[in-house]
Amino acid sequence: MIKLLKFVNLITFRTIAELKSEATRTYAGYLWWILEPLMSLAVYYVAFKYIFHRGTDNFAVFLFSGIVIYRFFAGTVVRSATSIASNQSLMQLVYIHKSLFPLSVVFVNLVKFLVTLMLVIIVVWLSGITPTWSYITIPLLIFLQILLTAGCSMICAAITPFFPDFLPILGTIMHLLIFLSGVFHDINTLSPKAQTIIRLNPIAAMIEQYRMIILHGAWPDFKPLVPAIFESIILLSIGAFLINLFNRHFPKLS
Amino acid sequence: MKDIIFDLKNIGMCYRKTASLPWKSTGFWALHDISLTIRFGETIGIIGRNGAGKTTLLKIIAGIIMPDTGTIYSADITTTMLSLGAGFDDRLTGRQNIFLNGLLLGMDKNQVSGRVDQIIELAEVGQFIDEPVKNYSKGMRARLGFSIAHNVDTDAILIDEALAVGDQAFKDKTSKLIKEKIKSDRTVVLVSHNMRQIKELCDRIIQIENGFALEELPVEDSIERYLKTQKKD
Repeated sequence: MIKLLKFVNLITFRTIAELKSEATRTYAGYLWWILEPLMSLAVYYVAFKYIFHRGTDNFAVFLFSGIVIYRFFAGTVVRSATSIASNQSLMQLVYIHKSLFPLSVVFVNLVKFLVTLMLVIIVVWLSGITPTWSYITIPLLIFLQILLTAGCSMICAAITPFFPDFLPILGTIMHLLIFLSGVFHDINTLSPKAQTIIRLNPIAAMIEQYRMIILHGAWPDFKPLVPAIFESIILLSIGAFLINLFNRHFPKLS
Repeated sequence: MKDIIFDLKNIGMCYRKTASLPWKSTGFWALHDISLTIRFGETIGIIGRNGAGKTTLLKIIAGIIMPDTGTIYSADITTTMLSLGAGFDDRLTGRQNIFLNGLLLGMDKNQVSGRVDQIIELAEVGQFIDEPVKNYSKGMRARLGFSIAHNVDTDAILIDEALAVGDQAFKDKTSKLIKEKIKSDRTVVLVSHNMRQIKELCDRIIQIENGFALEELPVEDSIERYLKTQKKD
């Protein structure tokens, strides 16, 4: 019990320390939390609106919400993938449960995600959509997303030390996944069969429900989230299992 | 007889050498069949040539790595490897790093808060404490690292050839502090090449050569044997 409490303290402190440390790395510091997603919004907006002439009403907020939600997942998983490998020197000197490394990445990015999600909601209000009571279900979606992200992060963090070639492969997977997550288009416009398949992707299902709440002011539909819930729990179990299994093996791999 | 704190039986440890292709990699046995029992309050010196496997043995005792063969029992105690400046974040201030490092070494928040002033005083970093660690000199980093590690309460201390850090004045101070710590009722495992120090501090000596533990002799004889093997080469 005390050990768990200490571990939670350690994660919390590392998260805060990392956020502070990251901010001092650049001149704009904390401003980058907001600037970075806005810049990628600008890129995709120009590409889809003016080059491909795609996009619906409110395309900017539609796109922005998708990008922010996707970025939390993808950004965290990619950074977690190197988290155990890059902390080799530290783990040579002190015993720490190795889940600390991917999990602190998850929480660092969670803080940033919450800030940008607030920004998304503000932008949505400015575009004339009014908030509704359905907002109270947002924390449930965030919780589910944390489970999924933590699971994938731990799996990727456990693979890289054994197989460094996994990194470019992961990059490609993440590249592909953004197109399969309904970030750029509304899943509902696809054929019924394609819809069913795409909703098996937990990120796609989550983005859809986030948009239901934020853009349409409706209550989320929990049925499409059922596969996502199961997948998140399974991935989290696999991740925790792998890290636990190799916990005292990782320091040998330097 | 006092309680057994660590009991290692037939420990073997194999590292994988990296090769051009994964299936070409071969194993390298850093330790073979080492058995060692450490009781409460003992100070044990580990000696041997570079690459003999001393640090690997220390890591196994610390619970950092799992041996490939053999079993290890350790009592329910806290063990700290006295390591200097591990896990410092260069961009954070000295004070923030004290907290980060203290938590990593197993202290809780209140303990760290209570000892911050003591740590700063011992580290002799003065005004630099609220500056990022990247502005520190090597000596200052080492002093801060030592001061944090020194303030962690732990039942067993593992020391890896790091008794001397910083300038002469600080060296004298640290070796005095470490000696005090070793002579107190703590269990200590000390890896060192300094035979005078080993002779002064240790109750038992384990000599490791090429991954094998040599037969354990009384302290004086053991040092003599070590010096002989050194001369031969």
